[in-house]
Amino acid sequence: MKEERILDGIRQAVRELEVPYPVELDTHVLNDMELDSLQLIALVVEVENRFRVCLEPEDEARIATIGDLVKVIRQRLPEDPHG
Amino acid sequence: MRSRSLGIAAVGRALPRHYYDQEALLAAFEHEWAGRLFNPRRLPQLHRNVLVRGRHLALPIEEYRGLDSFTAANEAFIRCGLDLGAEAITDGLERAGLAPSDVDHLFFVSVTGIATPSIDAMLVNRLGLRADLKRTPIFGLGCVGGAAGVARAADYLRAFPDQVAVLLSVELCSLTLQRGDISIANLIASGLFGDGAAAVVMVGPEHPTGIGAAGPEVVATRSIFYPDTQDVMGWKIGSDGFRVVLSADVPSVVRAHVRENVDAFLSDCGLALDDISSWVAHPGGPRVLEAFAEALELPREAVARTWESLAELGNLSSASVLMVLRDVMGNGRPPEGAWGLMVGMGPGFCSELVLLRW
Repeated sequence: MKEERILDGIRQAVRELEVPYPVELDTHVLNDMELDSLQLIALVVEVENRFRVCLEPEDEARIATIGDLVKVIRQRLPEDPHG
Repeated sequence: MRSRSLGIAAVGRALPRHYYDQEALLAAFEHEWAGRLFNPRRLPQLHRNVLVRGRHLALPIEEYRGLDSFTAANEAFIRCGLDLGAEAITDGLERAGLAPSDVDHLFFVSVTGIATPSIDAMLVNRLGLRADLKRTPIFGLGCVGGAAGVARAADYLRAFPDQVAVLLSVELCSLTLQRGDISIANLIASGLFGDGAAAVVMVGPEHPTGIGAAGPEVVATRSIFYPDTQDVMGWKIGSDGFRVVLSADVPSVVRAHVRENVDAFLSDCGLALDDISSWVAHPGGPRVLEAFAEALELPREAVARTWESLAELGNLSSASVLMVLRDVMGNGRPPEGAWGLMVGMGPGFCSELVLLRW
């Protein structure tokens, strides 16, 4: 799945959470969006259900920016021959 | 004990006998939602985050699957709510040394089920309350209903200072749970809310028996409405019942307003924040309670009873703050003359402040 499609999915998930912050690849989830621990779990659950992936604890530890989240989702998604 | 004040004579309570620890409830939800949540690890994470140890449920857990419609859930609300309401009022009146026939006005708050005639009317028959009892059923205040109910009962007793008013809160949150809804709000709510009933017995300063207030005097109250915040909390009501609306913004609304509201209210009462030595706060959830305490710069022990109530019972909506009041009255009661503040918050979004004097 292309990066832009994943980013769009994350934007929809963030809208579901009603976090009023523009979501770009370099947006920092803690410093910019100011998500607390519960909101971060909520975002991860939305993303997991949306993309049908399971993020592991080591993935979560690597998520500082939305770009990091895109990367871990791509890694957890099954291989897509159409990219 | 001051004998001639508008105050709280007693708080009764009733909890359903079916108590489950959080792990047992979690196991039931995991079973229910297996396959719906893509990552099954998330539910325990969300449920452990709410810092609740266990909850009382209106029904034995195995009976919830049979609640396949709003009709079935609401019928259970009426059946169980009537029993718990009767038990809470009886407990409160016994503690106050009063009889059912002494009650002049019954306020009834709930947001977890509806009935017409309302539960308070059914209680007239059940408890033998007087035929000229005035009744005010209040639906829709949600979590603020406990503090707001005390405030409205106090308003009433200012008009009729020789009378007795009882505020009954019955909240059976478990009966509203939407088993088909895997929104984050519902997942959190399924870990947070519990069931219970509380009855606050309040007497006017000129009540002929001179019962007076064994609990605190209700000195002043204030309602505060926050314009344009109606979407942060409430129900979406439909054919399947009450679907929870619980925005992640609730703590920020609390953080943005509560300090200013409390300071202004206390200032109008000739007091300041430092004068308040006893807090009776609605628990909300951990993030709401943290926002509340941070905004008011309160140490954790100032709201320790609220944290403990959250852990022991979960959030009981309007009944929660009354359970905290009961705990404060019963154990480690503040010294005579100490100032206290009861604070509730709920859908609207809004707050209710009740200044207490012990």
